[in-house]
Amino acid sequence: MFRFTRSNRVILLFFVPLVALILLIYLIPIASTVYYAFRDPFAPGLSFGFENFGKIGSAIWPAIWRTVVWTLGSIIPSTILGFIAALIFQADFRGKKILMIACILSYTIPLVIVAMAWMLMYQQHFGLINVLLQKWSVIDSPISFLSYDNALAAVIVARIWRAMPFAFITYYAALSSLSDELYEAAEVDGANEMQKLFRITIPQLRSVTSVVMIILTMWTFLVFDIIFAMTGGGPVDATRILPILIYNELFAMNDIGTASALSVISIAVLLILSSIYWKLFNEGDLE
Amino acid sequence: MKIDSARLMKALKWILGIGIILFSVAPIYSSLLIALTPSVNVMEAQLYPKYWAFDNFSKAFRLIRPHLVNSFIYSIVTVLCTLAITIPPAYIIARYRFRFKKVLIFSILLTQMIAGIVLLPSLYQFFNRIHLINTSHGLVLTLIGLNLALTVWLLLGFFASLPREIEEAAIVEGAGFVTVLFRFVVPMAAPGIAVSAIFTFINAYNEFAAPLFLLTDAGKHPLTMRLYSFLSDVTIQWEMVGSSAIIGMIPPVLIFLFFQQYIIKGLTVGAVKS
Repeated sequence: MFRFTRSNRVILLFFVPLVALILLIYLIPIASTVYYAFRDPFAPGLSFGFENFGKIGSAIWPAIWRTVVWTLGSIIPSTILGFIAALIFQADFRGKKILMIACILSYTIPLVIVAMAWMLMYQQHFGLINVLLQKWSVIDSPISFLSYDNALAAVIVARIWRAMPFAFITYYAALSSLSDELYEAAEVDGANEMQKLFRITIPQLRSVTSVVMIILTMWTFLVFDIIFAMTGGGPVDATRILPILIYNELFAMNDIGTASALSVISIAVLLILSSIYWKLFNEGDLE
Repeated sequence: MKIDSARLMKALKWILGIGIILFSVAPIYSSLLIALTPSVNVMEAQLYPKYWAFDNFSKAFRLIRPHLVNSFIYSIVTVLCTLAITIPPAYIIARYRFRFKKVLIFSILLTQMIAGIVLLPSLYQFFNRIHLINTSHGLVLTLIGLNLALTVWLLLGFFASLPREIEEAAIVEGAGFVTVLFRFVVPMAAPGIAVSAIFTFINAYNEFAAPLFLLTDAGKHPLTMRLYSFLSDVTIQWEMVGSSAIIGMIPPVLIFLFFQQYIIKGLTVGAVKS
């Protein structure tokens, strides 16, 4: 029934705008990124090599390290917190719906607003965290959360706030669809809650966990807005991750070559991280 | 022993649950607290609202209104164009068999992975060359492009889950492709199309990096860029940061509350499948 015949082959024309846009927004920019990244900026004619990568030099390693810390530091807590929230919300209790909404709300708001809200939380004089900690006499003088030593952790917490709801909803849906059989069998055998959690629930959710972590990695790795709005990559270079470096190379240094080289490196790191996860989780499944 | 471990679990669940809820609402509460504080009192430590300076909101609204309008225009145009561009191909992919189908699906999904900041430097160069830089249609084209993969993916799932019988009966009756698609499929898939529209709207409304790279003219800036300028000012007016953040989160939060069931469904469909 749904086959292409000579008369209806014309409907393939509906693909034209889609393909044209993918060409315009993805293929041409990616092709030119690779082109600019490997083109030798010093040679008179067209010549290709690793000059742009050489120009970045060893400055790249701290940025890659911070990017990895930023990514893993925010997705692992987000996944764990989301999982715990999903477990808790499996039970029925009063006010469940409104509390669930409260936990998911941060998922829909712009990242710039996430940055604004956390900037307010972190302020020294009136920020909620400092006010509370001082009121409870945990600290004598306010903590400067956005100082050189604390800034990376501070932006990571803001990212966790935004990423946690995704893990929560995904786990929540997955948990509701687990079958009761294994739990009933475990109950007969006298397993306690902890045993059921670690022997049944978590192993059954392995594929969901890998999906959540891969998606959050791809989303977090490329996140630019939160750090750009909160610290601009600073103080000095404390939060300068790859996306910030790309922006700086393009607009501060006006160097499309190094910006493109960094984009190529970013894509490579992203591919490596994703494949590590696939390996980790798929190997576990084969056992 | 058994009772103890159960009780411990329960206590742990309570503590963690309350902790997670407090963590989730604290930044919004904190923004509200500062939004309600007059600018002269903004440096005071407060845990509960002491002031009720509602005029902060009207002042913030006056400052961001043109950009809120820009954001709405960009987002609505993006939603309409994205749907128009993706509905027919998504339906064809869902129903028809053809040779390069797998390659096509894979390359569409691939675009979702590399979306974002890595594209923008060359897009900036390229738009400069073809005179799309600093134009609203250049931005909207980019926003549509960034949302294509997700929309195709969501629609594909919804179309594939529809029963084929109605469409087959229509084809037997002699209905052409366009009639089948718009008279029968689109109305049946309306909830799925709504999910895609909601996600595209929220994504377009939230986008910050694309206008940052592609728009230099402040008059064309969407809301996110104007909000950012509150943070990048030399002297930051904190009560404006708070009140404009609250106003800025109202549209997506309202959409979320109104369509929460759809959104949660779309989120899990989109996420679990990919």
